[in-house]
Amino acid sequence: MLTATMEDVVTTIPSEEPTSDVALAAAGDRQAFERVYRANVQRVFSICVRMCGDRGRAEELTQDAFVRAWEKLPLFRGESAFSTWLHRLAVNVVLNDRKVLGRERARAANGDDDEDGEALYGASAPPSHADRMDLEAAIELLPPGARRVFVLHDVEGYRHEEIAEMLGVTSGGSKAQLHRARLLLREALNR
Amino acid sequence: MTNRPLTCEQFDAALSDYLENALDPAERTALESHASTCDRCRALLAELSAIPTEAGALHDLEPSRDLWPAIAQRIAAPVVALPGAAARRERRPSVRPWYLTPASLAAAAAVLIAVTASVTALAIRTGRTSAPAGAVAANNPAPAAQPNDSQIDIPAPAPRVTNASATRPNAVPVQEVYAREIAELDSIVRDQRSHLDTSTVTVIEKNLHIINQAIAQSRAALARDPNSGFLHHQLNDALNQKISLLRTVALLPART
Amino acid sequence: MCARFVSALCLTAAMAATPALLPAQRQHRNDDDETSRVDTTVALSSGGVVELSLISGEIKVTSWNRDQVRIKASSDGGLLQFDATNGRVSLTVRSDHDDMGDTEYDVTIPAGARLITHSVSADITTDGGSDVEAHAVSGDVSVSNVTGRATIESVSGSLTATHVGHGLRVNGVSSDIKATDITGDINAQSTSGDIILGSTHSSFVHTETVSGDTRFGGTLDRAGRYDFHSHSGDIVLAVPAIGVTFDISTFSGDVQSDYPMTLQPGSEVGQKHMEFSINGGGARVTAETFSGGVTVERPGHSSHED
Repeated sequence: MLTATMEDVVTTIPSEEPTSDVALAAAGDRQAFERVYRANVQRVFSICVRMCGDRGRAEELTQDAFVRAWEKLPLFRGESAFSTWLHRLAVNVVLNDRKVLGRERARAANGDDDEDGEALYGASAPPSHADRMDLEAAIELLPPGARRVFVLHDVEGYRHEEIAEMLGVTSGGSKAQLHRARLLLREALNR
Repeated sequence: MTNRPLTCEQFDAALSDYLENALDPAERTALESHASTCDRCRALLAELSAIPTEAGALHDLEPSRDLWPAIAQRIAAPVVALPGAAARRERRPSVRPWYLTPASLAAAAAVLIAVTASVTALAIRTGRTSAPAGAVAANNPAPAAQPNDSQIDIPAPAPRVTNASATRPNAVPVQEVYAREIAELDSIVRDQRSHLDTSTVTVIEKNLHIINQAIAQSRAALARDPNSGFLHHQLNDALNQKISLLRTVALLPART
Repeated sequence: MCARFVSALCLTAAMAATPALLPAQRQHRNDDDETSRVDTTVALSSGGVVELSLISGEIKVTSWNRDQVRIKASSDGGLLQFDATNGRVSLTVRSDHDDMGDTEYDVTIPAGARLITHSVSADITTDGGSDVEAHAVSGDVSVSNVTGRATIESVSGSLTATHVGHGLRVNGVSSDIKATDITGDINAQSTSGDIILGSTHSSFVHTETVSGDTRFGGTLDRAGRYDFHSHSGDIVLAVPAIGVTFDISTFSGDVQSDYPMTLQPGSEVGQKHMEFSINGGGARVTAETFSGGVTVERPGHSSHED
């Protein structure tokens, strides 16, 4: 009788588990937050790597993102999925970092990179392992402006309107950057 | 739109909108019909269309090292002793599991998250590097009054050094951050003790004594050699150990 | 937000599983009669969580290749509370009086399940699981055959981890720590307990003690970082002869090495600081003590026995 009851319950009640670690973490439970971290770190790290194009820096930004998430978690209202909330937060951490650090890099990379990023592909050698570059490596070599739009749109699935808001550009600018990124990637992948 | 065939240049110009689904049906048809007759444009279209699909299927990447320990250190927030935290303790039907309800911290647990972690993170980091003193001070509210009946040796702030001679301009504020946090944790821990079994309390006191000795030895050595980075580092390690132990105790579940 | 606490199944096992208890007896609430038991098997979805907590007694966990959790539990004086959804199974014990006596859990979990255990004085022994967390106050903790990451803590109990596949974190106060056959990052901290790391395969190791001794005997990755800190405890590093860069500092301890080393000029008052490389350098090994000794030896040769 007991077993029957249990099986009924097991088949009808969906798992509450992911919600619960987030809720516990929001209430200050660090162990629960570590589980949230473990469950999400690869996703967040991937966003950071692809957005900033530097693995070492991406590791630091990933840490910053989770510290921010911990601080802001009590404010998370569950209006969006937790993962959506967290990924957006990670994107913001990378973009804010760009404002501080990126200026030097942008300057080093020839003005605002946006005009003739093509030169990057022309000049730089393909990545060490490759006769034929894989997409991951090709993304890394994109000029920063095109890379950010490409990652946000084609990898992360944001819409142009959202990207425009995040990056402080127009929706049309976002579309143009995306197209340019795809053309550059195609060129890189075909060589 | 006329039915005249597109040139490759027109194709290129419209391609972005085509991929964005922003063309009207007639324009789409014109573009597709050009692609069906032009090898170069057909290949371009196929390859560009494949990129978003491939991008959406990229695997997640893995960091080269475990990033958690540094995060854990940064989110280990200072504990602020709440007035009457003990008085507020009540045995209501437990919503949280017992092991998440430390005996002395029914209320203080909430405070653990409310206070920003920046002070601790800064203190720990600046122990090794040298952030501007102003940065520490800005994030560091005035030290709280220390309980004068403390049973635990609260380290006195290091002797104040003048800016001219200071190799570590942040040394004093960092020590104050430690002292304040240790004092606050200490009062919570004292409250906690009566809820732990005596053998655990004995272990904790013995180990606090060991750490206090380490702190005293590091200080004594530092007094003779105030510029030793190594000794500053040793002292900070010992202080961190003390904070870590006090925090562990503050969050221990009660015996019952 | 508190969805977690909406139990899909809250089974006060005492009611169901002790039919011999007569209503009249129950009304008297004789503490001695409040024994409760759980003996059941439930389904757990892949990657699900098993959460076990008790105060005193014993937790024993093994694993099997089924998507089921088998639970056998008994408590002398507490009430077992058992919750199960398809993603989480939890078992805890509660009592409204101080002495609830001992509780024993004997649990078999799916090999891929995550396991979280909490105890005060109970010993925790686990075998299997993907990610395992075990927290005790005075109980001993021993985890083995973890495919993912293990996190184990106790104030005074011993802490043992064997065969962990993807990282280990250990925290103790007076606890001795012993970790063997560990892959992935290792973080170990104890105030007065010893830390012994054997047969580890990690590119990141960090240990901290105040008065405990530290012994490391694992492989080194040329790109790895290995940091050992102590105040008065000794640090013994059995290091294979591959490319290693050492950075050893002590205030008043002795430094010995099977490998040739050089004392850096300009050391600070009373302090020894040695930086040296073997086989061209590579893996970064840092050892710092205040008064403890530091010994670097070749594996299999213990200069301690001389």
